[in-house]
Amino acid sequence: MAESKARGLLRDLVAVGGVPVLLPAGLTGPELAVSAREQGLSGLLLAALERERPAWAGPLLEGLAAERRRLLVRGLAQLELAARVVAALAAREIRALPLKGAALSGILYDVESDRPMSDVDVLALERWPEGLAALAAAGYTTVARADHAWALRDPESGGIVELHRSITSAPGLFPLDVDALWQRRREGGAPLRALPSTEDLLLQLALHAAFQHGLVLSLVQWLDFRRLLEREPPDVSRLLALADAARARSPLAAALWAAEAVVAAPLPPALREALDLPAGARAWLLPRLAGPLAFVLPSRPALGRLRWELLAGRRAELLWRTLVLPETPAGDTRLHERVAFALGRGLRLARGLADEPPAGEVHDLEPAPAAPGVVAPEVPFAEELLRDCLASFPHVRLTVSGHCMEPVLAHGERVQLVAVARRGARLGDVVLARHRDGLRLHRLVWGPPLVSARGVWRTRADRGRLLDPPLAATDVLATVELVEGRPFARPRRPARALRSLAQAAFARLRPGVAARAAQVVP
Amino acid sequence: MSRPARAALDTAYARSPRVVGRRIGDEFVLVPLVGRGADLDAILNLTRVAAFIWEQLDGERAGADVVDAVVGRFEVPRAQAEADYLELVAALVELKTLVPAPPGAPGDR
Repeated sequence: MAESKARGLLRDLVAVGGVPVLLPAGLTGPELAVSAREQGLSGLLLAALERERPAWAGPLLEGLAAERRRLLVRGLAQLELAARVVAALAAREIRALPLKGAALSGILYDVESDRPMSDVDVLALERWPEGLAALAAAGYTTVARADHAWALRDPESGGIVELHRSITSAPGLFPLDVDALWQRRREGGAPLRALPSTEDLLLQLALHAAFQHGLVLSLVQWLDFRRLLEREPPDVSRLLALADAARARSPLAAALWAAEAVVAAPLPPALREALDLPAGARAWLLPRLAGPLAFVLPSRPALGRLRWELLAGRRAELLWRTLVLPETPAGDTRLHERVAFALGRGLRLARGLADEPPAGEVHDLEPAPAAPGVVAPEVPFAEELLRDCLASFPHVRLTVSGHCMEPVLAHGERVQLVAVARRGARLGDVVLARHRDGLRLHRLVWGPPLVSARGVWRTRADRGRLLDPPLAATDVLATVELVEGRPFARPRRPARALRSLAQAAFARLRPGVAARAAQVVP
Repeated sequence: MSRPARAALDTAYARSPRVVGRRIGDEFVLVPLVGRGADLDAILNLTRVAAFIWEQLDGERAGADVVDAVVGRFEVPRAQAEADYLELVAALVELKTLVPAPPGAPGDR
């Protein structure tokens, strides 16, 4: 509940401006600071607090100032990374432009710390495989592969860059005239000297928001729309022409309407009049605009439904381009191999089985091992990165650390996670959840379908004696779908969850008995 | 005035392209860009006067001109402004955040 109030307050900060004299009941300053960080608004919140000095701000200022410095340093490093990638590609005569935050940070925000990014995105306009090879030769390691982008780790800074060949997944669905895109490019400041035009940036943001993320973004990502419309007003005719050429009018309309609802993005009248949606998308979207927090993380996007509605009239193409990837996980680009792989994948999906994650889609973050029982990315940046990867990639790979989930998960084993936005957590799943002391992979022993997303969820380690502290649904980031090397292992065990819940309840009621029971656990 | 001090006042200094200055809230910070990108521990906080001087170091204006600007802006005695300038420049040169006069220094926002 406090989290929802914090999001509401932060949304008001972005949409209306200013902070209240008093915090709403049930919301503390530290809770607000945490939410601001999650929404990418630490810098803007601090600026508002420094400006307006409400009585409750005092204890927050020091922490937010430290966060702002951290974000400044990280942002500068990330932009340097994007510039180095663009330069490395240019050395091979491959044209490239930054996307999203990397492109917007320098033109829409006063300082880099006001536009946090978990990674940077660069679009290669041509010869994408050759660009990947060039980066590999420069020491970049591949940590994730999706059909529209690969994520690479910089050997110098450890930062992540996503090298795109397409703005969204299902490449080709929204065709891109790369020569025209390059011709329209605009001058940027140091270190990124060339940026997409304002109209291209707005269209790219819209595609990213609507098609890639189901219209659920962080508040700072929504703020991008507002700032772009305010500070770099687009040429409406040119924007609409670009949207038509990219067959992206519907995603543009959906994203701009949502941006207007969430952060009061100022749509030019001529643009507003030209926006329209297919009937199904309109029926889905319009009622939801009345509750704009539904479009703000950690709300769960209706990704499949929205894609389906936005692509009315092109659904066969949507299915084709979604299933028939540009190459198979083995790298085979021949059509019959891609179709064969797509059929198998479609069949698995139709049977309701876990879609076997092709190796090429796994995001391996390779986190450093942490304390026993703790899944390695214990620092906030890692969580941000993890959230972003979960949102962007079908599967994320993590290494288990600790023995508390044995024998289901052994120390050192690698598991493949799928974001709860893609597959909701269910009773018995092993879930990656954020606890007070970090991220943990424990079993969900009290959750759907026994309790709704609004209720309190509980987790417990299989070898733990007691339940973990209560969780909100939003604390659960992902579920374990597969244990690598053990394709027949079943991480999800509902019966075990119920037994575990009963044992924990018993242990709480009878501490003496439980203590004796615990002694026999090896 | 010593010869090195005179030389420093005659020299135009430019901000190193490997250092970024940013005004964030009430602070002005210098962030050195190092091998692994940027280093949180290496951030420098500048006072108001130091931040003003940093912003004047454009690779074209000689030290004496910057001192003039400081005197005009902060109404301090010239001797004090010169001493502040020389002390700051010496420290920044030592930290490799200033270089004598090559063009192409990054602008600050």
